[in-house]
Amino acid sequence: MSAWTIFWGLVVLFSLLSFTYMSVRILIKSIAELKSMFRTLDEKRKAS
Amino acid sequence: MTFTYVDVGIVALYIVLIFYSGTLMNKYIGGIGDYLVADRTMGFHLGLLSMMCTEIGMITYIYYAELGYKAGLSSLVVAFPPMIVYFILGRTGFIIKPLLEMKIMTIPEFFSKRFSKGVRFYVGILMAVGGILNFGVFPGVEAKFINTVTGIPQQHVLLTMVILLTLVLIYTLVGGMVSIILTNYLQYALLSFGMIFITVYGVYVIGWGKIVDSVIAGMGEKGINPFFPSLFKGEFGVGFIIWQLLMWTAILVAWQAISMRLFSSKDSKTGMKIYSWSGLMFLSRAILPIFWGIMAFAYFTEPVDSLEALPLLIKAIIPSGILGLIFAGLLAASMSTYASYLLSWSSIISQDIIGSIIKFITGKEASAKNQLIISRLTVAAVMVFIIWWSLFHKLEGYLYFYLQMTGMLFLPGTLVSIGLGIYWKKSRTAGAYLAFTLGALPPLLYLFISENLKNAWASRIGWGGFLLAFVGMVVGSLVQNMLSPKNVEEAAS
Repeated sequence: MSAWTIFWGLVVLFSLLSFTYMSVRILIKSIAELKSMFRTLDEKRKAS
Repeated sequence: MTFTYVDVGIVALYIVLIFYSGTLMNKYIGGIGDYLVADRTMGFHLGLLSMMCTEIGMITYIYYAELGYKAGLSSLVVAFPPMIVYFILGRTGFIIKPLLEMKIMTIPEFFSKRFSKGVRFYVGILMAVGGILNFGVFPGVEAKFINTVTGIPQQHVLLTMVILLTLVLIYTLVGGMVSIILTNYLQYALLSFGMIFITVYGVYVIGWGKIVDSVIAGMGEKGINPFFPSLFKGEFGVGFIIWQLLMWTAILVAWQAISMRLFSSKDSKTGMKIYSWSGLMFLSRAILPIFWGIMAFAYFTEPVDSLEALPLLIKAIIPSGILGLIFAGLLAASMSTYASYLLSWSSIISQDIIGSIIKFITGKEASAKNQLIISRLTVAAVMVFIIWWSLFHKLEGYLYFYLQMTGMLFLPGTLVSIGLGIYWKKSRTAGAYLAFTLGALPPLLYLFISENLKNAWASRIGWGGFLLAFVGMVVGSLVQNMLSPKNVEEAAS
Protein backbone atom coordinates (compact mmCIF):
# COMPACT_ATOMS: atom_id res chain seq x y z
CA MET A 1 0.00 0.00 0.00
CA SER A 2 1.48 3.36 -0.99
CA ALA A 3 0.87 6.64 0.84
CA TRP A 4 -1.63 7.61 -1.85
CA THR A 5 -3.78 4.50 -1.42
CA ILE A 6 -3.85 4.97 2.38
CA PHE A 7 -4.78 8.62 1.88
CA TRP A 8 -7.62 7.78 -0.53
CA GLY A 9 -8.84 5.07 1.84
CA LEU A 10 -9.08 7.60 4.65
CA VAL A 11 -10.82 10.11 2.36
CA VAL A 12 -13.47 7.57 1.33
CA LEU A 13 -13.99 6.47 4.94
CA PHE A 14 -14.28 10.05 6.19
CA SER A 15 -16.76 10.93 3.41
CA LEU A 16 -18.91 7.93 4.19
CA LEU A 17 -19.01 8.57 7.93
CA SER A 18 -19.56 12.33 7.66
CA PHE A 19 -22.29 11.84 5.04
CA THR A 20 -24.07 9.28 7.23
CA TYR A 21 -23.89 11.51 10.31
CA MET A 22 -25.00 14.66 8.47
CA SER A 23 -27.84 12.87 6.68
CA VAL A 24 -29.33 11.46 9.87
CA ARG A 25 -28.99 14.84 11.59
CA ILE A 26 -30.56 16.76 8.69
CA LEU A 27 -33.49 14.34 8.40
CA ILE A 28 -34.29 14.62 12.11
CA LYS A 29 -33.91 18.39 12.43
CA SER A 30 -35.78 19.22 9.21
CA ILE A 31 -39.09 17.98 10.61
CA ALA A 32 -39.41 20.94 12.98
CA GLU A 33 -38.45 23.36 10.21
CA LEU A 34 -41.03 21.89 7.84
CA LYS A 35 -43.73 22.39 10.46
CA SER A 36 -42.63 25.98 11.01
CA MET A 37 -42.54 26.69 7.25
CA PHE A 38 -46.10 25.47 6.74
CA ARG A 39 -47.29 27.41 9.78
CA THR A 40 -45.88 30.61 8.24
CA LEU A 41 -47.33 29.87 4.81
CA ASP A 42 -50.71 29.01 6.37
CA GLU A 43 -50.80 32.29 8.29
CA LYS A 44 -49.98 34.22 5.12
CA ARG A 45 -52.67 32.36 3.19
CA LYS A 46 -55.30 33.07 5.84
CA ALA A 47 -54.26 36.72 6.08
CA SER A 48 -54.66 37.16 2.33
CA MET B 1 -29.80 -9.16 -10.02
CA THR B 2 -32.95 -8.50 -12.04
CA PHE B 3 -35.61 -5.91 -11.40
CA THR B 4 -38.48 -7.89 -9.82
CA TYR B 5 -42.19 -7.08 -9.18
CA VAL B 6 -41.27 -6.14 -5.59
CA ASP B 7 -38.82 -3.54 -6.94
CA VAL B 8 -41.44 -2.21 -9.37
CA GLY B 9 -43.96 -1.99 -6.49
CA ILE B 10 -41.56 0.04 -4.33
CA VAL B 11 -40.89 2.50 -7.16
CA ALA B 12 -44.63 2.84 -7.95
CA LEU B 13 -45.42 3.51 -4.28
CA TYR B 14 -42.76 6.20 -4.19
CA ILE B 15 -44.16 7.93 -7.30
CA VAL B 16 -47.71 7.93 -5.86
CA LEU B 17 -46.44 9.47 -2.59
CA ILE B 18 -44.57 12.20 -4.44
CA PHE B 19 -47.60 13.20 -6.52
CA TYR B 20 -49.94 13.15 -3.59
CA SER B 21 -47.72 15.56 -1.66
CA GLY B 22 -47.36 17.75 -4.77
CA THR B 23 -51.11 18.22 -5.14
CA LEU B 24 -51.45 18.97 -1.43
CA MET B 25 -48.99 21.83 -1.79
CA ASN B 26 -50.76 23.59 -4.64
CA LYS B 27 -52.91 25.64 -2.23
CA TYR B 28 -49.81 27.44 -0.94
CA ILE B 29 -48.87 28.90 -4.31
CA GLY B 30 -50.03 32.50 -4.50
CA GLY B 31 -47.55 34.48 -6.59
CA ILE B 32 -44.21 34.12 -8.31
CA GLY B 33 -42.37 34.54 -4.98
CA ASP B 34 -44.03 31.43 -3.51
CA TYR B 35 -43.48 29.56 -6.74
CA LEU B 36 -39.78 30.32 -7.12
CA VAL B 37 -38.29 30.89 -3.67
CA ALA B 38 -41.01 29.51 -1.32
CA ASP B 39 -41.45 33.07 -0.03
CA ARG B 40 -38.06 32.89 1.75
CA THR B 41 -39.30 30.61 4.53
CA MET B 42 -36.58 27.94 4.48
CA GLY B 43 -34.57 27.21 7.65
CA PHE B 44 -31.01 25.86 7.90
CA HIS B 45 -31.52 22.06 7.90
CA LEU B 46 -34.29 22.19 5.34
CA GLY B 47 -32.17 24.49 3.20
CA LEU B 48 -29.22 22.11 3.36
CA LEU B 49 -31.43 19.11 2.60
CA SER B 50 -33.03 20.92 -0.30
CA MET B 51 -29.64 22.02 -1.65
CA MET B 52 -28.35 18.46 -1.56
CA CYS B 53 -31.46 17.11 -3.30
CA THR B 54 -31.08 19.66 -6.07
CA GLU B 55 -27.43 19.00 -6.59
CA ILE B 56 -27.52 15.21 -6.35
CA GLY B 57 -29.20 13.74 -9.38
CA MET B 58 -28.79 10.47 -11.25
CA ILE B 59 -26.63 12.52 -13.63
CA THR B 60 -24.31 13.43 -10.71
CA TYR B 61 -23.73 9.77 -9.98
CA ILE B 62 -23.16 9.03 -13.66
CA TYR B 63 -20.58 11.75 -14.42
CA TYR B 64 -18.66 11.18 -11.19
CA ALA B 65 -18.70 7.39 -11.65
CA GLU B 66 -17.44 7.89 -15.21
CA LEU B 67 -14.49 9.89 -13.82
CA GLY B 68 -13.74 7.12 -11.30
CA TYR B 69 -14.04 4.40 -13.93
CA LYS B 70 -11.73 6.19 -16.39
CA ALA B 71 -9.22 7.88 -14.07
CA GLY B 72 -9.20 5.72 -10.92
CA LEU B 73 -8.46 6.95 -7.41
CA SER B 74 -6.70 10.05 -8.82
CA SER B 75 -10.05 11.48 -9.86
CA LEU B 76 -11.11 11.69 -6.20
CA VAL B 77 -9.18 14.97 -6.17
CA VAL B 78 -12.09 16.68 -7.99
CA ALA B 79 -14.11 16.47 -4.76
CA PHE B 80 -11.93 18.97 -2.90
CA PRO B 81 -12.38 22.29 -4.80
CA PRO B 82 -16.15 22.50 -4.15
CA MET B 83 -15.62 21.72 -0.46
CA ILE B 84 -12.94 24.40 -0.11
CA VAL B 85 -14.96 27.05 -1.97
CA TYR B 86 -18.20 26.32 -0.10
CA PHE B 87 -16.38 26.60 3.19
CA ILE B 88 -14.63 29.88 2.32
CA LEU B 89 -17.78 31.55 0.93
CA GLY B 90 -19.90 30.32 3.85
CA ARG B 91 -17.43 31.51 6.49
CA THR B 92 -16.49 34.85 4.94
CA GLY B 93 -19.73 35.75 3.12
CA PHE B 94 -17.52 36.81 0.18
CA ILE B 95 -19.89 37.89 -2.62
CA ILE B 96 -22.86 35.89 -1.27
CA LYS B 97 -23.60 38.16 1.70
CA PRO B 98 -24.06 41.34 -0.38
CA LEU B 99 -26.23 39.33 -2.80
CA LEU B 100 -28.41 37.98 0.03
CA GLU B 101 -28.86 41.46 1.46
CA MET B 102 -30.08 42.73 -1.92
CA LYS B 103 -33.05 40.28 -1.68
CA ILE B 104 -32.99 39.33 -5.35
CA MET B 105 -34.69 36.26 -6.90
CA THR B 106 -32.37 35.60 -9.86
CA ILE B 107 -28.72 36.49 -10.47
CA PRO B 108 -29.43 38.58 -13.60
CA GLU B 109 -31.46 40.92 -11.37
CA PHE B 110 -28.13 41.95 -9.86
CA PHE B 111 -26.92 43.07 -13.26
CA SER B 112 -29.84 45.40 -13.87
CA LYS B 113 -29.29 46.91 -10.42
CA ARG B 114 -25.50 47.27 -10.71
CA PHE B 115 -24.95 47.75 -14.46
CA SER B 116 -27.87 48.11 -16.87
CA LYS B 117 -31.00 46.32 -18.07
CA GLY B 118 -29.15 45.53 -21.29
CA VAL B 119 -26.52 43.56 -19.34
CA ARG B 120 -29.29 41.69 -17.53
CA PHE B 121 -30.86 40.73 -20.83
CA TYR B 122 -27.50 39.66 -22.33
CA VAL B 123 -26.65 37.59 -19.22
CA GLY B 124 -30.12 36.06 -19.25
CA ILE B 125 -29.57 34.84 -22.82
CA LEU B 126 -26.10 33.39 -22.07
CA MET B 127 -27.39 31.74 -18.90
CA ALA B 128 -30.37 30.26 -20.68
CA VAL B 129 -28.23 28.88 -23.54
CA GLY B 130 -25.49 27.51 -21.23
CA GLY B 131 -27.93 26.19 -18.67
CA ILE B 132 -30.17 24.44 -21.14
CA LEU B 133 -27.29 22.92 -23.15
CA ASN B 134 -26.05 21.63 -19.80
CA PHE B 135 -29.44 20.36 -18.73
CA GLY B 136 -30.06 19.05 -22.26
CA VAL B 137 -27.94 15.92 -21.83
CA PHE B 138 -29.59 14.85 -18.58
CA PRO B 139 -32.64 12.99 -19.98
CA GLY B 140 -30.74 10.92 -22.55
CA VAL B 141 -27.95 9.85 -20.18
CA GLU B 142 -30.38 9.13 -17.34
CA ALA B 143 -32.89 7.26 -19.50
CA LYS B 144 -30.09 4.90 -20.62
CA PHE B 145 -29.12 4.45 -16.97
CA ILE B 146 -32.72 3.63 -16.00
CA ASN B 147 -33.05 1.17 -18.88
CA THR B 148 -29.83 -0.62 -17.91
CA VAL B 149 -30.83 -0.99 -14.25
CA THR B 150 -34.42 -2.05 -14.93
CA GLY B 151 -33.68 -4.21 -17.96
CA ILE B 152 -35.80 -2.13 -20.38
CA PRO B 153 -34.28 -2.51 -23.91
CA GLN B 154 -32.21 0.53 -24.97
CA GLN B 155 -34.30 1.09 -28.11
CA HIS B 156 -37.04 2.43 -25.80
CA VAL B 157 -34.83 5.23 -24.50
CA LEU B 158 -37.11 7.93 -25.94
CA LEU B 159 -40.14 6.44 -24.21
CA THR B 160 -38.25 6.31 -20.89
CA MET B 161 -37.22 9.96 -21.31
CA VAL B 162 -40.77 11.08 -22.08
CA ILE B 163 -42.23 9.20 -19.10
CA LEU B 164 -39.53 10.52 -16.75
CA LEU B 165 -39.94 14.11 -17.90
CA THR B 166 -43.75 13.95 -17.89
CA LEU B 167 -43.68 12.84 -14.26
CA VAL B 168 -41.33 15.69 -13.38
CA LEU B 169 -43.31 18.24 -15.39
CA ILE B 170 -46.59 17.46 -13.67
CA TYR B 171 -44.92 17.44 -10.29
CA THR B 172 -43.10 20.74 -10.87
CA LEU B 173 -46.01 22.63 -12.42
CA VAL B 174 -48.36 21.56 -9.67
CA GLY B 175 -46.53 22.92 -6.68
CA GLY B 176 -43.43 24.99 -7.50
CA MET B 177 -40.77 25.45 -4.85
CA VAL B 178 -43.04 24.73 -1.85
CA SER B 179 -43.83 21.25 -3.14
CA ILE B 180 -40.18 20.69 -4.05
CA ILE B 181 -39.08 21.48 -0.49
CA LEU B 182 -41.59 19.03 1.02
CA THR B 183 -40.94 16.17 -1.38
CA ASN B 184 -37.21 16.76 -1.06
CA TYR B 185 -37.52 15.37 2.44
CA LEU B 186 -38.72 11.99 1.28
CA GLN B 187 -36.28 12.06 -1.60
CA TYR B 188 -33.31 12.82 0.61
CA ALA B 189 -34.16 9.92 2.92
CA LEU B 190 -34.13 7.56 -0.07
CA LEU B 191 -31.09 8.92 -1.84
CA SER B 192 -28.93 9.07 1.29
CA PHE B 193 -29.85 5.46 2.10
CA GLY B 194 -28.93 4.48 -1.47
CA MET B 195 -25.57 6.26 -1.37
CA ILE B 196 -24.55 4.70 1.93
CA PHE B 197 -25.78 1.22 0.98
CA ILE B 198 -24.06 1.07 -2.43
CA THR B 199 -20.72 2.18 -0.90
CA VAL B 200 -20.75 -0.18 2.08
CA TYR B 201 -22.18 -3.17 0.22
CA GLY B 202 -19.86 -2.57 -2.76
CA VAL B 203 -16.75 -2.65 -0.57
CA TYR B 204 -18.15 -5.74 1.20
CA VAL B 205 -18.69 -7.57 -2.12
CA ILE B 206 -15.57 -6.46 -4.01
CA GLY B 207 -13.09 -5.73 -1.19
CA TRP B 208 -10.82 -2.69 -0.72
CA GLY B 209 -7.68 -4.70 -1.57
CA LYS B 210 -9.07 -5.83 -4.94
CA ILE B 211 -10.19 -2.29 -5.76
CA VAL B 212 -6.71 -0.84 -5.15
CA ASP B 213 -4.92 -3.72 -6.90
CA SER B 214 -7.15 -3.43 -9.98
CA VAL B 215 -6.53 0.32 -10.29
CA ILE B 216 -2.76 -0.10 -9.95
CA ALA B 217 -2.71 -3.03 -12.39
CA GLY B 218 -4.98 -1.32 -14.94
CA MET B 219 -3.88 2.31 -14.72
CA GLY B 220 -0.48 2.28 -13.01
CA GLU B 221 0.77 5.27 -10.97
CA LYS B 222 -1.59 7.59 -12.92
CA GLY B 223 -4.55 5.83 -11.33
CA ILE B 224 -3.59 6.70 -7.77
CA ASN B 225 -1.47 9.86 -8.04
CA PRO B 226 -3.46 12.83 -9.43
CA PHE B 227 -0.26 14.80 -10.03
CA PHE B 228 1.47 12.12 -12.13
CA PRO B 229 3.81 12.67 -14.05
CA SER B 230 4.32 16.08 -12.34
CA LEU B 231 2.43 18.74 -10.42
CA PHE B 232 1.99 20.83 -13.57
CA LYS B 233 1.61 18.11 -16.20
CA GLY B 234 -0.79 15.79 -14.35
CA GLU B 235 -4.38 15.50 -15.66
CA PHE B 236 -5.59 16.77 -12.27
CA GLY B 237 -2.56 19.02 -11.58
CA VAL B 238 -2.23 22.70 -10.67
CA GLY B 239 -3.99 24.02 -13.80
CA PHE B 240 -6.98 21.77 -13.13
CA ILE B 241 -7.16 22.76 -9.44
CA ILE B 242 -7.04 26.51 -10.27
CA TRP B 243 -9.77 26.09 -12.89
CA GLN B 244 -11.92 24.09 -10.48
CA LEU B 245 -11.54 26.60 -7.63
CA LEU B 246 -12.60 29.44 -9.94
CA MET B 247 -15.33 27.34 -11.50
CA TRP B 248 -16.84 26.34 -8.16
CA THR B 249 -16.71 29.91 -6.86
CA ALA B 250 -18.68 30.91 -9.95
CA ILE B 251 -21.09 27.99 -9.59
CA LEU B 252 -21.83 28.74 -5.95
CA VAL B 253 -22.42 32.39 -6.70
CA ALA B 254 -24.22 32.21 -10.01
CA TRP B 255 -25.59 28.72 -10.68
CA GLN B 256 -29.28 29.45 -10.67
CA ALA B 257 -30.34 26.12 -9.10
CA ILE B 258 -27.90 26.68 -6.21
CA SER B 259 -28.31 30.42 -5.80
CA MET B 260 -32.11 29.96 -5.75
CA ARG B 261 -31.61 27.83 -2.65
CA LEU B 262 -29.52 30.60 -1.18
CA PHE B 263 -32.16 33.24 -1.96
CA SER B 264 -34.87 30.98 -0.47
CA SER B 265 -33.19 31.02 2.95
CA LYS B 266 -34.87 33.21 5.53
CA ASP B 267 -31.90 35.52 6.22
CA SER B 268 -28.27 36.05 5.17
CA LYS B 269 -26.95 34.29 8.29
CA THR B 270 -28.92 31.12 7.43
CA GLY B 271 -27.76 31.34 3.81
CA MET B 272 -24.09 31.55 4.84
CA LYS B 273 -24.50 28.70 7.33
CA ILE B 274 -26.04 26.50 4.61
CA TYR B 275 -22.99 27.18 2.44
CA SER B 276 -20.47 26.39 5.22
CA TRP B 277 -22.01 22.97 5.86
CA SER B 278 -22.71 22.20 2.22
CA GLY B 279 -18.93 21.95 1.75
CA LEU B 280 -18.76 18.79 3.80
CA MET B 281 -21.80 17.32 2.06
CA PHE B 282 -20.39 18.17 -1.37
CA LEU B 283 -17.20 16.29 -0.53
CA SER B 284 -19.25 13.11 -0.06
CA ARG B 285 -21.46 13.95 -3.04
CA ALA B 286 -18.38 13.58 -5.23
CA ILE B 287 -16.26 11.03 -3.34
CA LEU B 288 -18.90 8.31 -3.02
CA PRO B 289 -20.06 8.18 -6.70
CA ILE B 290 -16.45 8.45 -7.98
CA PHE B 291 -15.64 5.53 -5.73
CA TRP B 292 -18.54 3.54 -7.24
CA GLY B 293 -16.96 4.07 -10.67
CA ILE B 294 -13.65 2.79 -9.29
CA MET B 295 -15.47 -0.23 -7.81
CA ALA B 296 -17.02 -0.89 -11.24
CA PHE B 297 -13.54 -0.79 -12.78
CA ALA B 298 -12.38 -3.40 -10.26
CA TYR B 299 -15.52 -5.55 -10.56
CA PHE B 300 -15.75 -5.97 -14.34
CA THR B 301 -12.92 -7.95 -15.87
CA GLU B 302 -13.89 -6.88 -19.41
CA PRO B 303 -14.07 -3.14 -20.31
CA VAL B 304 -17.59 -1.67 -20.41
CA ASP B 305 -18.92 1.68 -21.68
CA SER B 306 -17.80 4.22 -19.05
CA LEU B 307 -21.28 5.77 -18.76
CA GLU B 308 -22.79 2.29 -18.34
CA ALA B 309 -20.30 1.17 -15.68
CA LEU B 310 -22.33 2.35 -12.69
CA PRO B 311 -25.78 1.02 -13.70
CA LEU B 312 -24.18 -2.31 -14.63
CA LEU B 313 -22.45 -2.47 -11.23
CA ILE B 314 -25.68 -1.64 -9.37
CA LYS B 315 -27.57 -4.26 -11.33
CA ALA B 316 -24.82 -6.83 -10.75
CA ILE B 317 -24.29 -6.50 -7.00
CA ILE B 318 -27.44 -5.08 -5.34
CA PRO B 319 -29.94 -7.76 -4.16
CA SER B 320 -33.57 -7.70 -5.40
CA GLY B 321 -35.90 -5.77 -3.10
CA ILE B 322 -33.08 -3.44 -2.06
CA LEU B 323 -32.62 -2.74 -5.79
CA GLY B 324 -36.15 -1.23 -5.90
CA LEU B 325 -35.38 0.96 -2.92
CA ILE B 326 -32.07 2.08 -4.41
CA PHE B 327 -33.76 2.72 -7.75
CA ALA B 328 -36.48 4.79 -6.07
CA GLY B 329 -33.63 6.73 -4.40
CA LEU B 330 -31.98 7.30 -7.77
CA LEU B 331 -35.29 8.37 -9.28
CA ALA B 332 -35.83 10.62 -6.25
CA ALA B 333 -32.47 12.24 -6.83
CA SER B 334 -33.37 12.88 -10.45
CA MET B 335 -36.89 14.17 -9.85
CA SER B 336 -35.74 16.90 -7.47
CA THR B 337 -32.82 17.87 -9.69
CA TYR B 338 -35.05 18.08 -12.77
CA ALA B 339 -37.71 20.00 -10.90
CA SER B 340 -35.24 22.53 -9.55
CA TYR B 341 -33.34 22.91 -12.82
CA LEU B 342 -36.58 23.33 -14.75
CA LEU B 343 -37.75 25.99 -12.34
CA SER B 344 -34.43 27.78 -12.22
CA TRP B 345 -33.66 27.90 -15.95
CA SER B 346 -37.24 28.70 -16.86
CA SER B 347 -37.25 31.51 -14.28
CA ILE B 348 -34.25 33.02 -16.07
CA ILE B 349 -36.06 32.81 -19.42
CA SER B 350 -39.44 33.97 -18.13
CA GLN B 351 -38.21 36.74 -15.84
CA ASP B 352 -35.00 37.97 -17.40
CA ILE B 353 -35.60 37.45 -21.11
CA ILE B 354 -39.37 37.42 -21.73
CA GLY B 355 -40.02 39.76 -18.78
CA SER B 356 -37.48 42.25 -20.15
CA ILE B 357 -39.02 42.10 -23.64
CA ILE B 358 -42.55 42.65 -22.25
CA LYS B 359 -41.35 45.60 -20.19
CA PHE B 360 -39.52 47.05 -23.22
CA ILE B 361 -42.65 46.80 -25.40
CA THR B 362 -45.38 47.74 -22.91
CA GLY B 363 -43.34 49.95 -20.58
CA LYS B 364 -44.49 48.05 -17.46
CA GLU B 365 -43.87 44.75 -15.64
CA ALA B 366 -46.12 41.75 -16.42
CA SER B 367 -48.71 41.06 -13.69
CA ALA B 368 -47.95 38.40 -11.05
CA LYS B 369 -50.54 36.09 -12.62
CA ASN B 370 -49.08 36.51 -16.10
CA GLN B 371 -45.55 35.95 -14.77
CA LEU B 372 -46.71 32.64 -13.31
CA ILE B 373 -48.33 31.59 -16.61
CA ILE B 374 -45.20 32.57 -18.59
CA SER B 375 -43.02 30.67 -16.11
CA ARG B 376 -45.10 27.50 -16.49
CA LEU B 377 -45.18 27.70 -20.30
CA THR B 378 -41.41 28.18 -20.31
CA VAL B 379 -40.96 25.03 -18.20
CA ALA B 380 -42.88 23.06 -20.84
CA ALA B 381 -40.84 24.58 -23.71
CA VAL B 382 -37.53 23.80 -21.97
CA MET B 383 -38.71 20.22 -21.54
CA VAL B 384 -39.36 19.76 -25.26
CA PHE B 385 -35.93 21.18 -26.13
CA ILE B 386 -33.96 18.93 -23.78
CA ILE B 387 -35.65 15.80 -25.18
CA TRP B 388 -34.62 16.88 -28.67
CA TRP B 389 -31.03 17.71 -27.56
CA SER B 390 -30.69 14.41 -25.70
CA LEU B 391 -31.64 12.50 -28.82
CA PHE B 392 -29.36 14.27 -31.27
CA HIS B 393 -26.28 15.47 -29.36
CA LYS B 394 -23.28 13.10 -29.33
CA LEU B 395 -21.27 13.27 -26.08
CA GLU B 396 -17.45 13.35 -26.32
CA GLY B 397 -14.78 13.51 -23.60
CA TYR B 398 -15.62 13.34 -19.90
CA LEU B 399 -19.32 14.08 -19.26
CA TYR B 400 -18.14 16.07 -16.22
CA PHE B 401 -16.13 18.42 -18.45
CA TYR B 402 -19.00 18.83 -20.95
CA LEU B 403 -21.29 19.89 -18.12
CA GLN B 404 -18.73 22.33 -16.76
CA MET B 405 -17.95 23.83 -20.17
CA THR B 406 -21.60 24.48 -21.01
CA GLY B 407 -21.90 26.24 -17.65
CA MET B 408 -18.78 28.19 -18.51
CA LEU B 409 -20.60 29.94 -21.34
CA PHE B 410 -21.74 32.38 -18.66
CA LEU B 411 -19.92 31.53 -15.41
CA PRO B 412 -16.58 33.36 -15.93
CA GLY B 413 -18.35 36.58 -16.94
CA THR B 414 -20.83 36.22 -14.10
CA LEU B 415 -18.22 35.65 -11.41
CA VAL B 416 -16.02 38.50 -12.60
CA SER B 417 -18.94 40.91 -13.08
CA ILE B 418 -20.53 40.12 -9.73
CA GLY B 419 -17.22 40.10 -7.84
CA LEU B 420 -15.87 43.31 -9.34
CA GLY B 421 -19.38 44.80 -9.52
CA ILE B 422 -19.60 44.48 -5.74
CA TYR B 423 -16.02 45.20 -4.73
CA TRP B 424 -14.63 47.48 -7.49
CA LYS B 425 -16.39 50.80 -7.78
CA LYS B 426 -14.85 51.57 -11.18
CA SER B 427 -16.48 48.55 -12.87
CA ARG B 428 -18.78 49.65 -15.69
CA THR B 429 -21.33 48.31 -18.12
CA ALA B 430 -18.87 48.02 -21.04
CA GLY B 431 -16.61 45.93 -18.78
CA ALA B 432 -19.50 43.58 -17.96
CA TYR B 433 -20.39 43.11 -21.65
CA LEU B 434 -16.74 42.42 -22.52
CA ALA B 435 -16.26 40.07 -19.55
CA PHE B 436 -19.23 37.93 -20.61
CA THR B 437 -18.25 37.91 -24.27
CA LEU B 438 -14.55 37.07 -23.78
CA GLY B 439 -15.27 34.59 -20.96
CA ALA B 440 -17.62 32.63 -23.23
CA LEU B 441 -15.11 32.19 -26.08
CA PRO B 442 -12.83 29.42 -24.66
CA PRO B 443 -15.71 27.12 -23.58
CA LEU B 444 -17.40 27.71 -26.93
CA LEU B 445 -14.16 26.54 -28.56
CA TYR B 446 -14.18 23.44 -26.33
CA LEU B 447 -17.58 22.37 -27.63
CA PHE B 448 -16.26 22.23 -31.20
CA ILE B 449 -12.75 20.70 -30.90
CA SER B 450 -11.92 16.99 -31.24
CA GLU B 451 -12.14 14.55 -28.33
CA ASN B 452 -8.34 14.26 -27.91
CA LEU B 453 -7.93 18.03 -27.72
CA LYS B 454 -10.90 18.27 -25.36
CA ASN B 455 -9.17 16.06 -22.77
CA ALA B 456 -5.73 17.66 -23.25
CA TRP B 457 -6.87 21.30 -23.17
CA ALA B 458 -9.80 21.26 -20.74
CA SER B 459 -7.95 22.82 -17.79
CA ARG B 460 -6.29 25.54 -19.89
CA ILE B 461 -9.59 26.39 -21.56
CA GLY B 462 -11.15 26.41 -18.10
CA TRP B 463 -8.90 28.90 -16.33
CA GLY B 464 -8.35 30.77 -19.60
CA GLY B 465 -12.05 31.67 -19.69
CA PHE B 466 -11.83 33.28 -16.25
CA LEU B 467 -8.63 35.14 -17.14
CA LEU B 468 -10.19 36.54 -20.33
CA ALA B 469 -13.34 37.57 -18.46
CA PHE B 470 -11.22 39.41 -15.90
CA VAL B 471 -9.21 41.18 -18.61
CA GLY B 472 -12.47 42.07 -20.39
CA MET B 473 -13.99 43.62 -17.27
CA VAL B 474 -10.89 45.66 -16.41
CA VAL B 475 -10.23 46.87 -19.98
CA GLY B 476 -13.91 47.58 -20.75
CA SER B 477 -14.43 49.50 -17.51
CA LEU B 478 -11.23 51.52 -17.85
CA VAL B 479 -12.05 52.46 -21.46
CA GLN B 480 -15.62 53.47 -20.53
CA ASN B 481 -14.34 55.46 -17.56
CA MET B 482 -11.89 57.21 -19.85
CA LEU B 483 -14.47 58.01 -22.54
CA SER B 484 -17.27 58.93 -20.17
CA PRO B 485 -15.83 59.63 -16.71
CA LYS B 486 -19.19 60.39 -15.10
CA ASN B 487 -20.85 57.19 -14.02
CA VAL B 488 -24.13 57.56 -15.86
CA GLU B 489 -25.58 54.38 -14.33
CA GLU B 490 -24.89 55.55 -10.79
CA ALA B 491 -26.34 58.98 -11.52
CA ALA B 492 -29.47 57.36 -12.94
CA SER B 493 -29.91 55.10 -9.91
